[in-house]
Amino acid sequence: MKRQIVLILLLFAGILIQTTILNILPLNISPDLSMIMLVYFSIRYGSATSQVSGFASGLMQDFVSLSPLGFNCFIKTVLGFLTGFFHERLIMDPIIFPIFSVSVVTIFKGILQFLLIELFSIPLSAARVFSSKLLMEILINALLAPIIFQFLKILLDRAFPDRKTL
Amino acid sequence: MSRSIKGSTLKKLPTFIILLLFSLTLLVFSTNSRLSNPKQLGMSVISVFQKAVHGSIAWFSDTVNSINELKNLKVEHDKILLKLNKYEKMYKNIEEIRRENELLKEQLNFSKSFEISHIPAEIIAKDPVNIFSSFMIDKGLRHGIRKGMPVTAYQNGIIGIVGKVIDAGYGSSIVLPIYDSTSFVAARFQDNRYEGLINGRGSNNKNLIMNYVKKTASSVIYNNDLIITSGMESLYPKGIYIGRVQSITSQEYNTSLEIEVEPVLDFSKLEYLFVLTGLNNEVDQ
Repeated sequence: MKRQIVLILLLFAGILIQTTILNILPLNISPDLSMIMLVYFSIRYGSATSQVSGFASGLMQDFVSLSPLGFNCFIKTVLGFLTGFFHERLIMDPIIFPIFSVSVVTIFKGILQFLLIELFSIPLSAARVFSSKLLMEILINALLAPIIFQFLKILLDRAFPDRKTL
Repeated sequence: MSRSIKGSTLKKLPTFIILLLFSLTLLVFSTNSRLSNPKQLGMSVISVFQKAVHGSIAWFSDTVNSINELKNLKVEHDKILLKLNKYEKMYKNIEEIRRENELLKEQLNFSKSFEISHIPAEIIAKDPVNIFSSFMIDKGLRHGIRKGMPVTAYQNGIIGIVGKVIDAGYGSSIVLPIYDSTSFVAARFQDNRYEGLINGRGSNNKNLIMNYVKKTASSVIYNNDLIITSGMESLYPKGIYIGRVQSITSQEYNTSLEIEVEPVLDFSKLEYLFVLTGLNNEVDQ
């Protein structure tokens, strides 16, 4: 329970950084920090923990976004649950694995966004889901993934020393 | 081994299904606009933290900047003294122009024009989801902001239209910019008065599109012509700048022109906005 709360607070911090600090950078696309963190939590702790973390972070994103309530909730819950299946089944190196896993999950997030937008006829605010924006997001997320994974590894190893893997 | 994995998966499944169903329920209700209050509640709570982070960054950068500014102040002070003498002479001329301007205003029945009351606001965050293009401002219901109010900004000596308030929380609001693909603004050319409808293309890097302009207007429309809000059946007051003509396309199969419009405002540099109030255009919450 304590760990779950810490993970949700970390995701909350990720969303705050994503919407405020990264807002002042001259980027038209912002990296999905909370999604990168969720991928790490899923692979480290499994589906049971990450689906709840994903749901909570998605709900927080829905509150401050133009997206309808439930849109990010659904996406992040599914991402957390499915990514969690790779818990203890993958050999994780510090660079290639974060880049690969986060790229794949970003593409999958795009597919889920597209499906929900079509299914619920959500008026799409920005450009289409499958556009250069998605490619840019994959690139930025992939570049940031090794750094964030390493940062979270050090942080969580100290916060919860019982677990030293990944 | 495989049996234990299957077992653990089955244990996780009910929670997953409950969370999914809950997400979907939220989605179903919110897409029908029946659940706006929980969103506003959550938005207000999270915006408190966003304000705190934004304020901390602003304080830190202001402190660093102020050290450098002190060094430059002395140099600036001397320069300003010289300028002051120059401006004193100019002031006498400006006073004359102002009087002349007031006189002309009276003659042109400018008394009909009104001072639009406004609330200044600052952008504190942008949309966390890249496919949506809104941003959050630090003023909300308690400051008098209501859903549907038009938002403007002052940049390079021009007041331009930014968008409208799409959702107002207690202490913060979400603004939908005019470059959003769901945004439509009734517009007209400042010079030749032809009307049309401006639509966004989803990105602040892309120009706006003006449709429904009669083909007969093609002979009197030129590049860099200014386009303003028409105020016709629109929540935006008339006469506010939108953009300049970049290109004109006339398709044979189309009865109207398609005009590419470059916004007068650089949205990537926006910091401070003015929410126009008192126009009786707010939408019921």
